[in-house]
Amino acid sequence: MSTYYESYIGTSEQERQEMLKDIGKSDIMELFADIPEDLILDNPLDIPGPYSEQDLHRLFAKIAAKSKNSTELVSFLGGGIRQMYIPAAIEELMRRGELYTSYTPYQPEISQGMLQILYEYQSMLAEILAMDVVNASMYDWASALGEAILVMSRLTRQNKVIIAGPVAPNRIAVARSYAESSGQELVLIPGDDGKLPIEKLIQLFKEEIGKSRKDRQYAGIYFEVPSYYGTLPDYPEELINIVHEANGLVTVGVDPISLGVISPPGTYDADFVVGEGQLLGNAPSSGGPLLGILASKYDPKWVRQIPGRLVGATTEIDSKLPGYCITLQTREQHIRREKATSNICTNESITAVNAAIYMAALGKQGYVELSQSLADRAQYLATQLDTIDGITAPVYGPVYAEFVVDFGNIDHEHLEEICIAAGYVPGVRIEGMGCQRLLAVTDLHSKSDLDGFITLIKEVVA
Amino acid sequence: MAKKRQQAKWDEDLIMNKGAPGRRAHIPEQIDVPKAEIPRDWQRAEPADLPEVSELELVRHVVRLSQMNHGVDVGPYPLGSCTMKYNPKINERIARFDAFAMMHPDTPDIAQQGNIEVLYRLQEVLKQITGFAGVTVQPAAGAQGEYVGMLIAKAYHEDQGNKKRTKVIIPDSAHGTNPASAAMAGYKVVELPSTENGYVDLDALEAALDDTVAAFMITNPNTLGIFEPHVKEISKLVHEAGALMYLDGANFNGVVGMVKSIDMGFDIQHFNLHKTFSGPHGGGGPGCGPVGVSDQLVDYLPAPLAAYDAEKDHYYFDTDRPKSIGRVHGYHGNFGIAIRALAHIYRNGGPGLRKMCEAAVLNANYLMEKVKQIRGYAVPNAKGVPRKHEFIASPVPLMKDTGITAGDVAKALLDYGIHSPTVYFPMIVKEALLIEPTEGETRDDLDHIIEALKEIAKDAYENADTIHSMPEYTAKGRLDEYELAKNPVLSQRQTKQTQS
Repeated sequence: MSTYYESYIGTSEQERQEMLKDIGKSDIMELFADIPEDLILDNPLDIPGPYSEQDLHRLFAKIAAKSKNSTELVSFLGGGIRQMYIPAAIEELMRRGELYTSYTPYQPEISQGMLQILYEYQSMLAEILAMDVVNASMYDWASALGEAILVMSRLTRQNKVIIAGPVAPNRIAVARSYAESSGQELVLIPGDDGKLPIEKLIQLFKEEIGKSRKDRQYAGIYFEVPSYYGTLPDYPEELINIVHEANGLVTVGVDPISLGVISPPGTYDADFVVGEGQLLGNAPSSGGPLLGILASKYDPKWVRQIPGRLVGATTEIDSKLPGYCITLQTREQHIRREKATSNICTNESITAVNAAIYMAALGKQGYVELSQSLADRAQYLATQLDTIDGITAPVYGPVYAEFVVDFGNIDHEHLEEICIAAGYVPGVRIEGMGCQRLLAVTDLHSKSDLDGFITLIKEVVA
Repeated sequence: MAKKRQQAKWDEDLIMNKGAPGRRAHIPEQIDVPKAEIPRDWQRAEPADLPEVSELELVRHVVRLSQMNHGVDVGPYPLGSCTMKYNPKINERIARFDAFAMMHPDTPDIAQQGNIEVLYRLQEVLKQITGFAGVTVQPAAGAQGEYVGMLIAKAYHEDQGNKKRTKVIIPDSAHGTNPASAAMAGYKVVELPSTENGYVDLDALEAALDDTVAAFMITNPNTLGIFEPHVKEISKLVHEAGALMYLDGANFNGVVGMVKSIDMGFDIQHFNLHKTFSGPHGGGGPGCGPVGVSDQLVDYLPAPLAAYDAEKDHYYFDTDRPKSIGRVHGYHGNFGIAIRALAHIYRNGGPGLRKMCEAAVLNANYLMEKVKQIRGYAVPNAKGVPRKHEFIASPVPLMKDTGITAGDVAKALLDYGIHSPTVYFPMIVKEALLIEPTEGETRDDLDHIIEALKEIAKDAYENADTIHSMPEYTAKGRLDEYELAKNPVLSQRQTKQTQS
């Protein structure tokens, strides 16, 4: 029988026998004598393996080959995450075993590397969002949204939250799960021209202001900039002032890359920000690990209500030199148990590390350039597609890097098949809207990628 | 003398304080298309105040910081309940295959057959390992798995027309996530005191069980590393009361391949693939927290599940699940960890998983027997009972004699290049040091841990002051955590705002 698994066991068979003897045992099963005998399996599990390292590689290479190699496809998939270009320096740095094989840095003296990078992540992202506080990561955008809804409810002691404008169905589904199991109610106000219905919302919150405090019911509002349909709303400053006047709170969902050129939520007085940090140089990884962004204004009371880990800057007791450690742990489950602000323990630290290196690599100038370059590509692609008879692009505007295209009378499945065969993925389906699809551009797209797709669509329509 | 290990001590400033105007690292590619106008109201007025560094400057920064970080790849990491085992490098390579790493989850099924197959195979193999009828890999971490498990329990009871079951019973030795997850799912938590030996108190459980209880949530082996000997009787009591049995799988490394969860009477279990099945912990995450359930609960699993149509040899996502509790993740969970776990399970096979469990348990018991013999440390609870993958050493005698606490021992260990065990958990044991060596440590490393603990005890008895000044060989000495918690400084922007 092959014993390929021995690679990962620290002791040899002989050492194990010696160690057993050393502690007065003669058979390994004596160490399992406390388990009722009838529970012990007679035989090892009947599952695949053991595999040699080569065979394991072969097996997974074979499975991988059943998928299209996504680096050979020109993909317009977005809707929350996108396949972006990952600079080589970042990929190399992310292989540092000291970082990726470490646990949560609960022992700060021996974990300064991880702590400092997480503090840098919090700090740089805070600049991009124009918010004061960013936590050290949530699972993904969707669960960050779910948690933000719970925070708004806790702070206002109200139990209704409005989700306004176009928001991805998967994010609404997760938000619903978090909200409803905690007794909160979500109110969806989608808007009808693919944009945030600002006037309607202003009206609604004006009515709230008119009510007495005890008759008010809204904890706050959530909307996205750009929205799921890629659209930018009218500037929301007035809406946010009115929500605040009604004692409500505002959470904004963002595409962090857009904020190189688009006004960040901090400048229009958002209280909380959520978003997807995968876009900050992380691989899409078939949907995870992702990086849930959660940010807030600084308020001593609020920072004690937000979920997730926070890294803070402090000093060494003896030298007074700077050092970093996890702080405000009394909010967390390992101390507060059922009264914690969230159950989150394991988070997505390593993708936050990746994001930190990415933000620093782009730097002040690069971040703006990258951000602008996506707006340029999106405008070019939409404009060109719109010239094709029977195609509308964008269906709703103005947009940033993602936009809805109406492909007219084509069937979704048919379009997907043709495009994939030709090496393109034509974005995400918008369910229930004919052949409308959400297309996203990324910094992987060359001009010939865009032109090739435009040509293909021309052929498909003709 | 046990050897001490000097960690790198770079004087490395924050990246935001480095660089100079105009320095560049990654320069985005510009393509030849017209410049888009951002609507005037929406134009960002000031660029974000990010650093301006060269690529080499950035690379050195991160490499130096990494050298000031302890990982499994650096040295022993006997952090109890966290299963800090070796992360095999072949798994890293496989996870990086372009088809896996670069895939967008919304890619049409026809273009990602292999990726759906990975999820499907993992669901299947986790079923085989536990005996459960259904598995979801959607939860992003153990705590999210617990939350899903609780929602499933809720959906099941409500489907039975039973809305009275509002309570979940949890032993006082449980991980903090258990009560937090149950509370998030809307349950009232009833804490069950453990017996002196650390077992579930059967009489107390029986008294607590009634028709308002939805589930009993336990960790087995428990957080003292002890297998619950009455697990079958417990399951019987819980089931007789109409409640469900939930297994926190955080400690699965102590029994994997040795027993099946379904045989112990469990209805729901979450896995921590980043623990038992070698996903790297990433400095705190990602994890992957699949949930397995018994037959009667399969309908309630989150949607979608990976599915296989054998006739057409086609993998797909089954979204048609009307009784499902819905979604907890935007996509299919942490695929990147799921694939590493699947690779690890296959690499080991049935015989390997069993050997892995045996070796982990042997390492823990070997350490325990040696630690028992060191003056100052006690191994409380369940005398003479072998531990599974972890055990508790409690330096209560040391503290009484010398004033040196479990926390001090933890800090002192760092100077020996050993990450501290989990400290002051579980809360039911005084001065707990929860030690989990995993199967990956060599005998030399185990002996080094023992020598270090011995030397720390000796120093405590002879010159306790030297312990108070430890660690000294780490990148930083003890930090002012107290002042930080009082006046938290959470970003550079926050300090700039206060100054201006």
